Amino acid sequence: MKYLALSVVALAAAAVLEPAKAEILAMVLYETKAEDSLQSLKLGGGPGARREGIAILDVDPESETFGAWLADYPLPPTLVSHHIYYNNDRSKAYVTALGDSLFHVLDMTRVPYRLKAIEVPACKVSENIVFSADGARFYMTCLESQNLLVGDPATALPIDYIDLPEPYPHGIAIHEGIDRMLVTSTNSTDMSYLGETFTAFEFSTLKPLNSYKTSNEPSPSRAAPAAILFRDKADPPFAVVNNWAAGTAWIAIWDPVAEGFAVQQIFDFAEIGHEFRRCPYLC
Amino acid sequence: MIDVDPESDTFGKWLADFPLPPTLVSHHMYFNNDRTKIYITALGDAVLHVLDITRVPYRLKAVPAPECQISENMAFSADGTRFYVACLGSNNVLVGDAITDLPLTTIDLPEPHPHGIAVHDGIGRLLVSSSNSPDFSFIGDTITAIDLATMEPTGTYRVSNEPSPAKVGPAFILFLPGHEPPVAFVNNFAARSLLAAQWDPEKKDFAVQQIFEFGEAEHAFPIAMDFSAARDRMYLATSQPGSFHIFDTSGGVLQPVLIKTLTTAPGAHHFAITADERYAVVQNGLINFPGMNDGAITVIDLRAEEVAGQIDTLKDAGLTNNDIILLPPWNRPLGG
Repeated sequence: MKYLALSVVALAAAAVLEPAKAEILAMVLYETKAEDSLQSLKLGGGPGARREGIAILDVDPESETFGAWLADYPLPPTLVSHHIYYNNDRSKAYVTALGDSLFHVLDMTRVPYRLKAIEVPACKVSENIVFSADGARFYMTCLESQNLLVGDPATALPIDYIDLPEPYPHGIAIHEGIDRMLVTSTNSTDMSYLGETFTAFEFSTLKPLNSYKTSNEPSPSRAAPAAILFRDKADPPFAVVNNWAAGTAWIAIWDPVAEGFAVQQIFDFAEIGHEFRRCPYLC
Repeated sequence: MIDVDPESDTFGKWLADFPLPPTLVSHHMYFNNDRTKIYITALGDAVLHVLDITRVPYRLKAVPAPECQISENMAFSADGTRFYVACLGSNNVLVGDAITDLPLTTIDLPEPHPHGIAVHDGIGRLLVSSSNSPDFSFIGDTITAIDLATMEPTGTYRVSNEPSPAKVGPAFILFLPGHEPPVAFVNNFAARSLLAAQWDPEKKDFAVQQIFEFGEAEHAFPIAMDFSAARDRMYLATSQPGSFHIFDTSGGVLQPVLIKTLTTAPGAHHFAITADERYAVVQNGLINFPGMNDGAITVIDLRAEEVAGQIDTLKDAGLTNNDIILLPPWNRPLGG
């Protein structure tokens, strides 16, 4: 009977934890379309009508409410919200922004969720965020101010700002097993500068160690590495980097003997006809 | 969803939003008896919405009710199994199942354009006011009592001493909880007067009397009202020019004495009193009438009997408002 009782408890727990059937909820950062888009769609808009927010949508194609906009958490219309990241225990979602020098923290433990704005004038154009494995620190790339914000998730407040050897940081990834943090140098906001490197930091000291080029073309190759992602459990560890302008994916494989990365291209989107069309953005 | 606590760091902050169809013209919100769901009536689409507040995020469900055009006020049976909606455009009362949220039947009415509705299960009566047609060519002067057991009208009562058609426009009706003998209060929005319909247990009938009238061209469109739990205060909002009135009722709820009028904003309509009776929160917007659609929310300190703060969050966004309720644990039923 002991096993039976445990089974019943397990089933009950599963029933409690199982999300409602036929419903998958997603948070979507949204903003009013650009003016030329509104004109082409013959929609109203204009000054004062701009909106931003976090929409909660049902994205389950098998749900009766597929596509329904269930709830909305308004954001400032000047924010230009960009990315959204959970902390490690998924109790809070962090929202970065390209417009205002603010990031927002959405406390998901309260009903309704509560949004808190954190002013960070020293971090302009906030891009990507990663968290330390113990959840005690977050790291945010600040593209325009060309630095890295180190923050305390407990208070959501900045603790320090780290200068970088290469400008315009965007992608960021941490691997505590090899004590490394990788940061890409991507592009200036006006696109006059496009980077071609990522920099490895010693994670425990936040000291820059080496920068690695993610292009086989002569410098400045303007490849523009952006997102960077560690494959945590691989041995040896490796990170994948996407060059958004060059349309290529690169891999950075950890060499435990040399304590450095070996980089190489692993895919060219031009091979499948998905190369980046430089005009009208970069022509 | 807005923080309305004037002592809060986030006073006036728009915390969350639950989008409604842009053709709906949402009108009123009502909690069911156990406060797990909020029902939303509508002047535009013939649809009720039910907001399930037991889930995160709250879930909105649309319930088509084509037999109920222009849904106005709602009331619930004491056991929480039935809801009643006054359907101003279709001249009937919709009876629904408050468990499934589905319509069950309709009640035809002897007088047109129902608006206010109130239930008293103890005497088995439903009261419905005959208010106005949507184009205001008809403005009523009666309330009708319906036997809850048979759903048949038992009497119609004039709420004016003037000859018919008095065009007084009775709208809001409130049975005062716990009062013996049972008494319902009726606001005439056009005549700017307040009446009481007191139940006579022997005759099993209502006796109607006027208990207050605003002076000429002073305060127009009295609609929503409420009482303190101690019954020593009555509160009433008027939409023109936009005020919140405090009455002393320590001499009896049928003898209200106006002691203070606080300016809110054009369109003062509904208000919600916090569970501790510290604040009344007034929404200033009456069906988007020009000049009565300010959109501000005014917070009244009921202890100091002064305005404690104003929220322009919706107004500054170019929006007006149609109703306001407080969420649990701040919510307090009408009459305390």
